[in-house]
Amino acid sequence: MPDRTTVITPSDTYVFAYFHNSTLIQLDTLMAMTISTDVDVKPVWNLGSRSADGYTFGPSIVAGTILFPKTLSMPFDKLLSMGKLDSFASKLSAAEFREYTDEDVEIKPEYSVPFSILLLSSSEYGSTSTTSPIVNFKYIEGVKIVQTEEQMDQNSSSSIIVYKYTARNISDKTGYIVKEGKKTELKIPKRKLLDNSTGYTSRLYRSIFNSGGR
Amino acid sequence: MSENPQEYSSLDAFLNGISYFSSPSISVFVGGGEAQLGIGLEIDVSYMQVTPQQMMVPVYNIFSSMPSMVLTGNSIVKGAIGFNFTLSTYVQEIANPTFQEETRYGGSFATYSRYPSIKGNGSLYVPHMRIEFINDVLLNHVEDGYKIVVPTVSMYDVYISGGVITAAPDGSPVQDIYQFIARKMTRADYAKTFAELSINTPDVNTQA
Repeated sequence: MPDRTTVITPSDTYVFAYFHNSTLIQLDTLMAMTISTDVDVKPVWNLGSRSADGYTFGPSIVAGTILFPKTLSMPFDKLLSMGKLDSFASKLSAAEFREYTDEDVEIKPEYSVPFSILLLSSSEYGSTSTTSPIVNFKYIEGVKIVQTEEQMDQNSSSSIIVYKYTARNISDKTGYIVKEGKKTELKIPKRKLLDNSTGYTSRLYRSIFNSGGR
Repeated sequence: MSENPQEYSSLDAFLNGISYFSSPSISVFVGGGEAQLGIGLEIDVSYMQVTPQQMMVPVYNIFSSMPSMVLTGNSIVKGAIGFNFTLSTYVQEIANPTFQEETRYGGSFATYSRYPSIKGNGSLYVPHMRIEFINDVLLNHVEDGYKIVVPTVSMYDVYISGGVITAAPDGSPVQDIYQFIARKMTRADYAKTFAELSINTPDVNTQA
């Protein structure tokens, strides 16, 4: 029977991108992606002690790369030239290999608004289970593109575009399709964006917006 | 925790709240009481320095090279507090009556006022400012009802002035640095459960 050790392969994984409160757009032409987490852990020593007596933790970061094959335009370019966030979100399907030839690119991907990525994984084996958790959700929240690189050389059969990103947070959840003998509805959860600022900052912004300034 | 101190592992220490702190552990609040953790108006701070100054005056008599007594001189608490610049009025708006409910000092010390205010010279008066040291990594390992130790530093009758803006052409956030003086500073360590800490957990229901 499948269990939590069920292996998930890349072909079992679907990747979606979305903005807060917007539709999920499948990145169906994604070639590859990597996800790394990094926390700056510093050992703490006291005088008279050779081994670390404890640890302190610096800021944490999620980082990685997203790879697309090269097309006539950069996968995120059109998305970045969109004015409104709603249309901006829908144009995430620019990553669906639509080829844009009508507009020059004016904005670099690095200036894009952060979005979130959801990786939805299951397995063929797992999908036959009636008891085990068989769906894995991985959320990468606040994805911010920080570097874009086109890789072309004569030897490779395809040229690729590599987006390097950092993100604010990552979490893993496991879901069921059948739980306690009953079929459950598989909902793709909407995850609230993590608000790192204190309530004071956001309330101050709201107050200034409402009053027109002070 | 192990019975034998020799077997006291780092995990024991960690789980028992004995830990060291770094910048992600620090929260700064205006208002609340000195023992009310998580209460008050939390502000986003990028830099903090607190310097308590207590003058000690040695008194000598002519028959000894050593002081015969030490008198207590004037005391003051000085410091600096820096912000990643977001709004010009970020600091002065702390005195806005809109935030009075949170910025009210509810502790037991006698302060000039219970509420923040802008003084005639433009400085901001804050009756109480509290720094909390919460090991956020430890929180991931504790269960409901488990207590963790939270060191705190409270300052009373704080006068914040200045607002030095520093910008560098390297893409780092513009800094807005204020200085402050305070009449009094206290230190206290509290043992609190997770629920008592009033920590906002951003996680929402993500079950499928």
